[in-house]
Amino acid sequence: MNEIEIILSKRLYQKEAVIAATYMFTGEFRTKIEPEQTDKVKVTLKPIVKEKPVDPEQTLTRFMNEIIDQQLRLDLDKSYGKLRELIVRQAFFPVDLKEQGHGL
Amino acid sequence: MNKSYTLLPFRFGRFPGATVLVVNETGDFQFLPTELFDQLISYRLDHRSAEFLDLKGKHFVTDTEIEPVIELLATKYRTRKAFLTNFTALHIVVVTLRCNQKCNYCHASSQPQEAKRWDMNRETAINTTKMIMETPSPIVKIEFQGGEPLLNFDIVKLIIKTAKEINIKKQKDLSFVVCTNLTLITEEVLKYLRNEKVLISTSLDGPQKIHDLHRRMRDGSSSYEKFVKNLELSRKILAPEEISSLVTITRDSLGKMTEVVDEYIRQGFCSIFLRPINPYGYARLEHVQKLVDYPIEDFVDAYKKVLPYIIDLNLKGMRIEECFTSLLLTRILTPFSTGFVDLQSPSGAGISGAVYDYNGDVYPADEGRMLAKMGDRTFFMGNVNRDPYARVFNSNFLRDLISKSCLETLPGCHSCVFQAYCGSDPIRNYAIQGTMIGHRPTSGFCFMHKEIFKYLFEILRQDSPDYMDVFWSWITKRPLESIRMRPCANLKASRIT
Repeated sequence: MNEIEIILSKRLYQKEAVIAATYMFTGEFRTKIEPEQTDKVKVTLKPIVKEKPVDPEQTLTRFMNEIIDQQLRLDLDKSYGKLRELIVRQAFFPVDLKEQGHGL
Repeated sequence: MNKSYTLLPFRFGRFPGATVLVVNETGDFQFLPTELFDQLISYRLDHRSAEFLDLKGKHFVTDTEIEPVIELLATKYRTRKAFLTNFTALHIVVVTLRCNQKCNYCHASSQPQEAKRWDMNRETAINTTKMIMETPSPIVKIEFQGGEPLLNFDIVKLIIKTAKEINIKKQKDLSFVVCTNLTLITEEVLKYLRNEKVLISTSLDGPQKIHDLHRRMRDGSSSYEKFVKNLELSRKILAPEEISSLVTITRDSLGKMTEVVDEYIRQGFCSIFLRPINPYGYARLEHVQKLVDYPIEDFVDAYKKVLPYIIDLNLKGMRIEECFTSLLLTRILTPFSTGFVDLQSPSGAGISGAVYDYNGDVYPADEGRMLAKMGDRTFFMGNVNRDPYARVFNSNFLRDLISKSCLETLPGCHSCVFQAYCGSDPIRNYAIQGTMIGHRPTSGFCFMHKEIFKYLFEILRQDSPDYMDVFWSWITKRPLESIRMRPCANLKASRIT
């Protein structure tokens, strides 16, 4: 198999999700992300080890599942990303106060 | 969309059998069938259902006022990250590079026994101790490593004496460990260690045929017989819990892990820490790699085979704890902080542990020292004879190193379901992959930890009462019988919160 091309709609997947999903395949494939028309993006996966057999269908399924999960994480982050920041900031709040105290 | 509840931050990962594992910021977890997960994230989960109440109890959702929940999660988060509060507690002092053994895989790239130029001198020892005692940490553990530290024992004694003198004023919780192959230990040394409350950490690779394969004396003779004889002597003078041992798994022991475990029990140890060989020092040489190294997948397979064996031994009444499993389970099943220099976020390099070489050079971890030994001084932080504490430990270099080790910001780690339990090792990333940030899809470190987490979560999902009892006996450091005497139903795969 030479390479797998995946065309994705920009309306469904954000750039961050495309990059995060593609990143997970960079151990096995040389990857390329490029714009396709105005509203699409093309991801190309080319096996790094040519001799190692790659099942294109399975790879495609893995990639699509991965990108859905990555997009889902971004969507969820819109719901609770601010809360996550708040938890961490609140957790270290006494340290901040102490540091501010030193500066006074 | 009508939202009858608020989602709280979590990460998720898919498991076999249409199951999703969700883990929140503070390490609480829940397995959900895919269908329920879909309902959860689309706000369709019935908030009167048992699943909803479970998720609410574990702070994945809330249908009440949010401020108290955030407050509670922040407190739990702070507890989990408590290892950051104190700054550097573990201080490894390399008192000599000389060693009377020549192990194939030596991390320390040891030097011949007669080459005294590789010894730490008195001035450096005193300056090292002064720098160590400057740490803001109220807890200080000084670990003597080598080479073989007993070859420069006067310096070990000098550091202990100096640290104790300084500590009269500082009043820190000060402890000492000497890492020795035991072959040079004498009754006199042991009595000194007992009187000064110095613990021993030694190395045992398995039964004689395995131990002697790669851990031989410099003259090529067996080290096993000396080790066993001196272990016996040590046990006469020190308490059993004052002597622990580490195992290095080589290619030769990989398929014989049960024999290794049996040998640990035979020699009276109650714990074993299964860890793959480190790619540093002599172990990095090509001809040595061929001899001792193996694909990380093989280590994971061996781990999965030997863990049930160890658990079974415990169930048969032989107490033996697998410390790596125990560490990970403590992170998964309890809210407590478990700083472990090699696996924490941010990394413990420099801020939890530091290494002082024989010549006073300071590194954030032993791996940094080994790289310097091989000509790469990227991780050199300063020298105890030339640099003040603040220059060594408050440098932009250390800040940069730590900032590159926060899992929340690392590609591949940022969304990983195991993030709450895992850690990073920027120096290992640098040594193996060429960058401190590393590349997760090709990282053996990442592969191993992910696979072991998956394996442990599968065990937790099965919720075997026997396995859970053993796990809790390890986590709580209590005898299995005392765990089993309690009504265990409420202790199974649930988590202490």
